[in-house]
Amino acid sequence: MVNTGGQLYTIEGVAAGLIMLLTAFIVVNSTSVYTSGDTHISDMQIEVIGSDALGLMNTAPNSTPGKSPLQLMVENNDKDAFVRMFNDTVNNRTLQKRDSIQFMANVTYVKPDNTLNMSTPLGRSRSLTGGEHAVRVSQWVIVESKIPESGTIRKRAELVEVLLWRD
Amino acid sequence: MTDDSGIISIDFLAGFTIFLIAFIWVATMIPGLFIGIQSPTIDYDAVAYRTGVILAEDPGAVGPLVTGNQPWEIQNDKRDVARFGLAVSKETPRILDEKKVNRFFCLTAFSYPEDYQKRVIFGDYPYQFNISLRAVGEDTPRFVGDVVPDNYPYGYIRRDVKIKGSSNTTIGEKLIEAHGYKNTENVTKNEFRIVINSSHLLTGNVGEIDDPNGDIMYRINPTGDRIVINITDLDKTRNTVAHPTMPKVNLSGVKFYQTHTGDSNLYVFSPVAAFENYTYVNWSAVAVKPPVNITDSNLSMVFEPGFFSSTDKYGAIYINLTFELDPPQQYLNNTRTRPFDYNYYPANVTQPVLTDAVMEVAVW
Repeated sequence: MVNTGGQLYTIEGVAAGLIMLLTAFIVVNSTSVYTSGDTHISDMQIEVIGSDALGLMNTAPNSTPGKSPLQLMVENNDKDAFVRMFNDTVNNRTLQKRDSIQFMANVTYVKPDNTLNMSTPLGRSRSLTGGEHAVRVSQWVIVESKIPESGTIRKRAELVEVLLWRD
Repeated sequence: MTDDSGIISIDFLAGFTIFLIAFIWVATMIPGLFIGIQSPTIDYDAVAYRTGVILAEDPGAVGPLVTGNQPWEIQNDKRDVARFGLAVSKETPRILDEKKVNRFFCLTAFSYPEDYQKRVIFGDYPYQFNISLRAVGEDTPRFVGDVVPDNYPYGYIRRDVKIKGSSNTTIGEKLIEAHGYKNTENVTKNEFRIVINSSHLLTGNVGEIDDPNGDIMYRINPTGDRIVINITDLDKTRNTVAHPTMPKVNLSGVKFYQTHTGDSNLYVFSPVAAFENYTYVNWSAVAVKPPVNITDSNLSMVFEPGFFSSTDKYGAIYINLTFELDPPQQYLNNTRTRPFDYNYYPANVTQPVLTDAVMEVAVW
């Protein structure tokens, strides 16, 4: 029997049309994600240069027995030296004016009682406010320090993590 | 009165849901529709990244017609170079070899762009590019390529690297005294021997670094590195009290010998003709071939990369210098002591130093 069951009335039709338009608008807008996909390129560029800088700082300049600059900075918690060298390295260019990459570095290691010492600051060029789009690079460093502080000098692996972003 | 007005039907919900699913599905496929018609600009950054990786992390490669284990930077014919790569080895990313850097940026050896496009940029598209490198302390960078465009998009990558320099030794008064390189007799021919033990240099510990794999960036490779031997204070090896007058000194000959793996006999080794001028005397900037007269106290020998490339890398190289003096006198002589050892001992040899540098690649 034919009746009005399932019939789309005017008000519902208008409402449905609006919903469809709104949905279409949201969906079309959401596809614009792919247009901003090239942000990964600038992320990659900063990540590569940060990783290079940490790797080179962890390389001794010659074979004379000694430690890499990064080892010494972590052992002595020399924030000034780290900020100066890392800043020079990541922002150095061949010809044009220097780059403006900012960074914040921390050191993480496992304490003798097997708990994690999280994020001891190693220096920063600028404070991270939370709005920056930062990438993270890291480097394991073997340091010699008194473990525990009153004990004998032993080797320990510490993780240097650096957040980098561009102004 | 109750009726069915204002009721959204089940049919409508089903249809609307199907529509939405279909719409989202199609919308997610839209980016894929453009893959086939993308412009070359999209991959500029990818090509720049790849080029940066090849240069900073790859040691390069030679063509199939090159025999032996010879690196690309000592090939005289550029057709024997298959791929540029500036790294010391594939185990040492970011550590560049000074010889490779010098050869790569030599525009008399290679021409831009064709030689570079097929050896480091690759791809069918004729990319233009600019590759520059500046070591810390240098004012101007070395570069190859076109000027980077101001108002045009280009792909870009920057790499922080270190450049491994070459080793050298200066045998001066201090070393001569310490090792007893002065004879006590007045003779016409004074012999001075230098040994470059390739086997020890390539397989032994580097200094006190006890790590056979992690130290390649500090190694001296006699078959591929530049070896520089400076001898100074020659006049101080004479007995100037007994013989106040400077004799006529002639470096009459430099002979090369080598030993092979498991064979301690000395075999004569003759360098190729391209390298025969390696001696610098009297502060001249021009290399000459012995025999040569020495009128002051200094002598330098610069053995360019490839000079010893045909020697046994697990043997040893002996360099015998013969000084003829008229009249006979005491002079630099170690026939009664041991040959001077070109090794990893910092007091004997200035070890290779890694210098910070930055490299940029722009592709458009």
